[in-house]
Amino acid sequence: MKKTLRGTLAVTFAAGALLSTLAVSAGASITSDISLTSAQQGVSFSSDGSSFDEPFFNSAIPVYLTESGNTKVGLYNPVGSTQGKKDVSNDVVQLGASDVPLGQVSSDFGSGFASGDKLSNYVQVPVVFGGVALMYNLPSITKKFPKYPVILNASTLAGIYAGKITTWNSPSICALNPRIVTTTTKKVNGKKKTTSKCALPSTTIVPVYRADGSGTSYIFMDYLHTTDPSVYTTSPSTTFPSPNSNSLGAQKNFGVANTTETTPNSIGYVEYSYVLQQHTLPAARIVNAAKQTVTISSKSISADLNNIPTPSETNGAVSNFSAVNGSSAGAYPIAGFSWAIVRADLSTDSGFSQDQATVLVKFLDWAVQSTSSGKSGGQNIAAEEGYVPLPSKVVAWARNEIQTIKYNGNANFANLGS
Amino acid sequence: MTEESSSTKTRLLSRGLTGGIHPPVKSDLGYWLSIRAGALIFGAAIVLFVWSILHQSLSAWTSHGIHILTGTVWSPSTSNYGALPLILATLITTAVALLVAVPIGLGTSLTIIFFLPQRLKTPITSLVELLAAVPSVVYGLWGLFVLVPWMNTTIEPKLASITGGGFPFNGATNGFGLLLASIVLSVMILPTIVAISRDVIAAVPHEQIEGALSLGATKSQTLLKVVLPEARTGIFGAITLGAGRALGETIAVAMVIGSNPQIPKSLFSTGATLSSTIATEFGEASGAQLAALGALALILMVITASVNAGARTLTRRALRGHA
Repeated sequence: MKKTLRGTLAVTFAAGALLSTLAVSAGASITSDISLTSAQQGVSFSSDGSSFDEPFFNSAIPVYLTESGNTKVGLYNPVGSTQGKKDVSNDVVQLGASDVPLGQVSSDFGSGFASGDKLSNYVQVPVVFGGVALMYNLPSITKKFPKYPVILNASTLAGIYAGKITTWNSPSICALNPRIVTTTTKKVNGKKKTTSKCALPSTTIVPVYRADGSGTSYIFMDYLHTTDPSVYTTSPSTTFPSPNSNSLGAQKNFGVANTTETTPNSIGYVEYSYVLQQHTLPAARIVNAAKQTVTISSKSISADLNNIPTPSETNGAVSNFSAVNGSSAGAYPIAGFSWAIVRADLSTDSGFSQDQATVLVKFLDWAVQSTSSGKSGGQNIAAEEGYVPLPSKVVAWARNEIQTIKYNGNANFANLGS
Repeated sequence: MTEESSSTKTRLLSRGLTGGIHPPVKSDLGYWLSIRAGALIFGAAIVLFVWSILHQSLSAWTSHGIHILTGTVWSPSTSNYGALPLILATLITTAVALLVAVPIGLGTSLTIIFFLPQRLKTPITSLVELLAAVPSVVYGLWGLFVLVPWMNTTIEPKLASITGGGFPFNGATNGFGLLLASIVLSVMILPTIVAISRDVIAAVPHEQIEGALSLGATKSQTLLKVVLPEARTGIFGAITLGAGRALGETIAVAMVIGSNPQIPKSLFSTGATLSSTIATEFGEASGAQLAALGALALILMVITASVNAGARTLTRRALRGHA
């Protein structure tokens, strides 16, 4: 029994008033793509993983619930990328999210994963594209030069996070910030002589990093290592090496944001939406590959989106997914995809019914789509949360991957449209 | 009554209750068996526990060997599992915490017993005991929100000016670090030290104190030369228990130490202890990293056990010297 969305009386099933308002506001452009049978409206799947994705999933899931009339799907639990991968391997959740595709780090399928599990058991699709912001805590500079956020480039960031650049007024940082100066005018022999001096403080930089495993760390390390492998020698991984003995480790994106906020002279890397949420600290402007100074914004994160290669997949292994250091004009250079990981055949999770599997793949198919051709999808919500909607060729690739998800050996069992 | 005679009495008493190693009379069989079963289950649990941690960390020991103990870099991203920074931070924070808490704790106990008027004894005692009832995460939050800014703006600059920026108060400050972790720990172990040392000090025979006073000793001489030496075994015990708690304390330390596994350069350095590293990294660890965290657990257990054993030896030696 198939219903159109409008006919499902989604509003009456919705859990709260908030959801009802969302349903009304989003109602206009709903298509029948995510319509569920009444049996499917009463079943759920669970999801957890990367804290990079938390703002997206926990805004998208309530909207999906209202639009599809489903009353059971629970919220996303930001337990971290590695835990998300382990949980999907052990069938604790059916959707795990990670900022690094499964199979990229050596510990994947090691201890903590289901024994005998392998990459070809999974389908992985990008769900959001986001930037990593560098927020810094220099209150006096921010107050004195409100129009000039500190500018950093790849080699100074690599220097700071390799523990080699340790003070804010180090020559290489000062050279990038000609506007942050104090000028003094003196009369020498009747002539006015103006000298300017770097106004950045001589205080020690406190690099704040993720002490727990993190996909955000992976994207940031990918950037540092890609742009300056001579200074930042460690190849990207989910655990960030401690830069030096002045550094502070914190847990999860919000831990880094809070620690940076409470520690003067610190700098920390977080997913862009955490800067939007807290916005008490400025984000550093970054010099990109085209030698332009770029402020992080949805626009600058997406500037290079059409040039980044579309990922490819063989036997579950995803490659060609790195999106850092884009060379387009105005491109913010520290960005990457975050991935949803589901079983390639959902019936292998014993007790996961075909109805549940249908809800899951329909959610995914909805989540990766944008407003293109009059459809309202999850990528709209991603944009509201500070991510960047996936470019159309990546959406096409992702939807293609989603249709390969099987139940009892049947691909595209949910009859997803093109 | 001296401790020697009290232990003799216990020995006689236990012999009478259990009948030594001889099998019991029939009616006592159930009792005889159940007592032994209890001891066996508990012993077996400990053996299994140690075995499981060994098993968990075995691959780390075989692939890194002694490097786990001596390596100075803890960096899972480069498969460097050297726990020396963590071991040092664990020992330093515990030592500094004891350095702060033991004099204050003993002073508190002596004050409560000898100097406070009767009506103040109970309220002060229960205030100190209240410290033990505060959950460690609350200590962590207190450290994070109250002490971190205060340390950063007031305490650390002041300490640095005392030593003129010399060791151990040198280097950059940001509030977090070994010093703050030690201070939070010292508050946390204070009630343990006070509770036990108060009991043992109160148990010092009154005749000895009166004797010392009648021989013309001043009050301070009596306390330092009669009371404290008489109670020293018990005080050792109090310190050991406090050290045990400080070594293993996890959440409060993880929140204030800065979670930064580096060899500490001063007390202002951020760091990470064995237990705080396990807590921070466990959730996201798998494979070799998980085994290495198991190795950390084993190291921590060995340290705690040797502190206990060391204290026991000291106590025994002290008792022998005493008799």
